[in-house]
Amino acid sequence: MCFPSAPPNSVSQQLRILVADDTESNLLLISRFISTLGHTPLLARNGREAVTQFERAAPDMVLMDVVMPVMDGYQAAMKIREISPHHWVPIIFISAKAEEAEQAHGLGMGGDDYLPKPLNLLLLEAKINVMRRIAGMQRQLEENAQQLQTYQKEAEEEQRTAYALMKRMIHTESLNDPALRYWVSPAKRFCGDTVAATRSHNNNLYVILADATGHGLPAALNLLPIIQIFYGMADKGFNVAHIAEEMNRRLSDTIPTERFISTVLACFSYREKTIEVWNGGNPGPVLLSAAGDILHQFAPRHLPLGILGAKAFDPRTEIFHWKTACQLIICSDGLLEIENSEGTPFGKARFLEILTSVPAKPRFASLVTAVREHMGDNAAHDDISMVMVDCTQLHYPAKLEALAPQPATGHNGPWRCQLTIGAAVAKTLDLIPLLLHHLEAMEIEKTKCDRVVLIISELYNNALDHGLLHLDSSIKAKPGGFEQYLTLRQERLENLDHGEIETQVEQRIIKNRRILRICVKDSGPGFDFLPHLSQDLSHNVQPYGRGIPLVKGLCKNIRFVGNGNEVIVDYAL
Amino acid sequence: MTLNVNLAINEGIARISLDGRFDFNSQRAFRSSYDDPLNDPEIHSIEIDMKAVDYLDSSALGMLLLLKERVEAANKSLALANCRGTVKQVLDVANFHKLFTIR
Repeated sequence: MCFPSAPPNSVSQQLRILVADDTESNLLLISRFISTLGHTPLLARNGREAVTQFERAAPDMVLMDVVMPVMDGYQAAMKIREISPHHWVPIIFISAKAEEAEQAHGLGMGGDDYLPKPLNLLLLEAKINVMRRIAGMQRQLEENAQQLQTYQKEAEEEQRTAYALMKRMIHTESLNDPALRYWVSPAKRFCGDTVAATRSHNNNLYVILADATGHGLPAALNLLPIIQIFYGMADKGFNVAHIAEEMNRRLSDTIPTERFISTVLACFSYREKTIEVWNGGNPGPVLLSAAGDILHQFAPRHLPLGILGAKAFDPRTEIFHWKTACQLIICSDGLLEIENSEGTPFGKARFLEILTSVPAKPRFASLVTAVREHMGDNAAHDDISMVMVDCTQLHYPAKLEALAPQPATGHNGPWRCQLTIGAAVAKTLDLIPLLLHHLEAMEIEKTKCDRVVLIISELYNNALDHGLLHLDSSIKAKPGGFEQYLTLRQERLENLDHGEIETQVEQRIIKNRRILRICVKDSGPGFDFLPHLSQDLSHNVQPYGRGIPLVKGLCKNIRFVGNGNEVIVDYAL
Repeated sequence: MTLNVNLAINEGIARISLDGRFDFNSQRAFRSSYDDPLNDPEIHSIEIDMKAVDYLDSSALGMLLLLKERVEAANKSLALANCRGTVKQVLDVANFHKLFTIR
């Protein structure tokens, strides 16, 4: 940082004063008087000389006779103002033409004051002192303006860097998902709202809409840790509750008390036809049918992220099971609060009115247009963000058939790992990230890894739901059955006190090919597996019973052992 | 638009009445209103009267959180009174009833 070397707030005590007069005796009188006051006189004998002297010597003040040969005082004053348009130097006219109209004319020509001849030296001294004070203040203002300009340039440069950095960290390209549309409108350059999305290994779509307290850079900075956690955990398929818990833990450790983040975290599974939502402090995502009926609203059940400590945090989620085409719309409160020129907020009623009256296809665009029209030219107080997920566009990956065996890469030798999970652990275990981590360590390539994880989690969930929790999938077929199934599952899981699931994964090398043998066995009574094996996935219109046909579609073979409480599949890598 | 803050003390209860728009710009006015009551050993509880608040934003919620922290540190109690309309709505959406006594 650099400060100007001159002391602020004053023009130095000793001034350099340019005196222009064509009468030698006047020149002598004034310059002597100036010297006795302790200032330095600079002399000019006509207007032109005065201008030249001004350019050469840059005086602090000018005393100018009006009537002079070659160039008169008024012209000289105008020239001086031209030469130095930004830096103000006081000019005092001295003239025998003392009428008021003449004085006014002189002030209009760029002079700052007028002294009549014959000169009163006491008055001259007083005027010099006044001008010095004004010039001092003027200089201070100039310096301040300069400093402000420097600060502003520096701040802008810093902001540009920060902006570029944040843009990269939030990487918006993941929002280019066919199922998703979004709109973010910051109140300032930095947005305290963010929308992010990512697909997990099994093609579940994770979406987050987060609204940090306030706006601008401090708000945006608070979003960074949770966005990183979001990508890190959602990519690996952690469940919504765990992600929310981790985000809250990080935030409550780092951000100040008065800051928090209203957040909706949602996970869409096309295969299960479910939307799982954790909502802390957001006005409430709305689920609409294609026709515009409100199917569900995910009320804010929790405090925003970053307020409660890890112990008090409530990670419970809400799960909705959809049956027909639908769209989920999530927006930040900034959208509902945006005011028009009369100060009327956009409001939830108008928001719902548009959503329910416009058909599915133009719905999102209509809402954005309506908000823009409402806002008009008014600057928004707050950041606005909105995201819509169209459940019909969530497609499961098209190719479900088993991949043709490829020449083996990665770890070519045989290995085997076994994981036995007891009742207590089964309650809270997030199996998928654990599996992914292990399989990646075994150098199984990404797409195959995803499939293996899918197979294992299907089989594991069957073992847990049916083997240990004794749930009957046909409950799902009744009206409201899916929700009932989930509630029952939650209850039984909480009360589970015995049983275990054993998962074994083994790599075998057969004719130079890597084959994974996956075996999942539970301590339950087994089930009648024969009807499931003959089912065709594409004709299944039931909301259940997809798991086994799906696994069958992915694997070389599937075999049930014993009563059906043990299943073995082979997957060619 | 600004927030008017009025402090009245009665039998150990400091009642801070707010009037106007409670947002980022009211930070200083609001913070300075509770410094004295917090340091006063005679006062055992603080009540924020929201009756005349017509707008409440997330920075205001943040200020309430900060106040709560200070009140707890001073071993006093805190309540939000007369929360209605928009104010009530905003507090509900943020689930602040889980943290504050709201009357």
